Amino acid sequence: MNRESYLWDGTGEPDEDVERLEELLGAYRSTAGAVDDAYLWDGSGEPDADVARLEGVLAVYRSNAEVPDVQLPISPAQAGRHSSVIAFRPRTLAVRLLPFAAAAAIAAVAIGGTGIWVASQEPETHQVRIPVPSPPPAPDKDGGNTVVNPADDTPILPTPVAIDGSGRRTVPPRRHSGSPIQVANGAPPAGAAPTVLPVPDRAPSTAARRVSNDVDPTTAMHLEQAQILLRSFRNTAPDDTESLAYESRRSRELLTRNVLLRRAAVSQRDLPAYSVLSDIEPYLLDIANLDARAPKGDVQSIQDRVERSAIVAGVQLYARSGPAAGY
Amino acid sequence: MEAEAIREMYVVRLEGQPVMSRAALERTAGAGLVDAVRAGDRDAFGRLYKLFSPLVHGVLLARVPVDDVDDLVQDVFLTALDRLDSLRDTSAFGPWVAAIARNRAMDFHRHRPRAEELTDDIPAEGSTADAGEAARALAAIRALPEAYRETLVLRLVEGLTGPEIAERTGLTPASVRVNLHRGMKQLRERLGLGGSEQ
Repeated sequence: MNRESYLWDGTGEPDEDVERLEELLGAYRSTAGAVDDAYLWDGSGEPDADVARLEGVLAVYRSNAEVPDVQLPISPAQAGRHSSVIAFRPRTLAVRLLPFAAAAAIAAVAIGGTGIWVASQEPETHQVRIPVPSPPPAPDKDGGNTVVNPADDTPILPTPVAIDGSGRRTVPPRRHSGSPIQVANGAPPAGAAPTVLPVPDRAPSTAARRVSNDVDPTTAMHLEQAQILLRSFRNTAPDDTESLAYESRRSRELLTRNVLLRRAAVSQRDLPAYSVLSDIEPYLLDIANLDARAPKGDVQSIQDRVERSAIVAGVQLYARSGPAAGY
Repeated sequence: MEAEAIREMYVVRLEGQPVMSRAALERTAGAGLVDAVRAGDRDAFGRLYKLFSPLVHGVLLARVPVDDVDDLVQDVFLTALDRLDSLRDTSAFGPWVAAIARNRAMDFHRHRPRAEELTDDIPAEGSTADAGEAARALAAIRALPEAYRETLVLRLVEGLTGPEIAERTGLTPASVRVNLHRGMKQLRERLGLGGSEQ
């Protein structure tokens, strides 16, 4: 019994045969546990010269752990206060937003109907000014996207599109005359001077339809930067790799912040901010993912989408509609 | 230092003695930070990033060229933030974000032109001799089987200990120990280091 016990777990009376066989067969034992690898395992024990040397040499590749520049508009204290409602559950959110969506749909139908009625009653031209506080970082390349407002010397956006006398849409040359953007209702008469439209003749993006009366300053600042980037990207030549690389890098930075702001908007139940941030995110993502050597077609495809969706106009409208528009 | 500070924040003691293992503390710290980030806590995001960026950096460094690693680390955290609500077990943030990093590395190679895989990974700092040795050592690690490669990068480059690697990657400590031991043995042989006869 004692000998069996020794064979089983090494306790009891030692079995000489087992001891002898252990000694003989020990030469074939795995070395995995035999080597003192305490230093390799957790840095304790006597330092292993090779490991220590490699640690020192390879330290140049170590992560610097620089936290990306992200800004969240809510403080930790606020987060704690709202912690019971901020968990984002798309399905729950959709249910909660249903009444708002229904109200928005009714309002849209009412506004649309009024607009049609006004259009049929008043064919004359209206003038609308949309100032933007700071100029874009890069000059426009198509020469037609920045118009200076004579009142406060700020650019007037968004991209104007002209309709000539025959009703065809054209991009007008750069203007510094400071004339305000004109919105025309109805077709221009034959032979009349070109009329400038602020947005393409299709439905604006969802962002353009939303109006917020309380734009968070951080969000407004972010949207302004995103707007400048989108405009700059839209004007970049597809073969201008330097500009594309810069815009891609910049877009990556903005994307980080956009994600966090969007999540914060959800936590604060700020539907308009959430919507506009969600709208611009796919564009930021596409630009961020652009390789410097991306085919021209890829670049143009994104530029076309930016143009078609009128996202720049939508973002601008949103940023302007709140009290922070004058930041 | 940051990781130590975070651990200190979450230490649970009973009559002066810790009642949670170090691994459990890591898990608790990670889970607490994930919850705080979900709540929009900016500081928590910074701490979470500092706690787990060495893991993500190491996973990527074992697979993609050095020049692309920093950008991809940011991409991985972006993706993680975007999908944070889909993480059910917040204490498993480490293994989860490591999986995202591995997938991101695969995507990187899938979309990258084949010719660019031969980029030299020469560090920008340090003396030429050290830089060359570092590049040679990293290349040797990358030539190892994947399991050894990742574990060794986390240990030798990122400076994580075996238990920390096990905790953050979700591997068992025994697996990590075996990977470290066998990987180091193969690395010694490849680099012709003195301890290769062990």
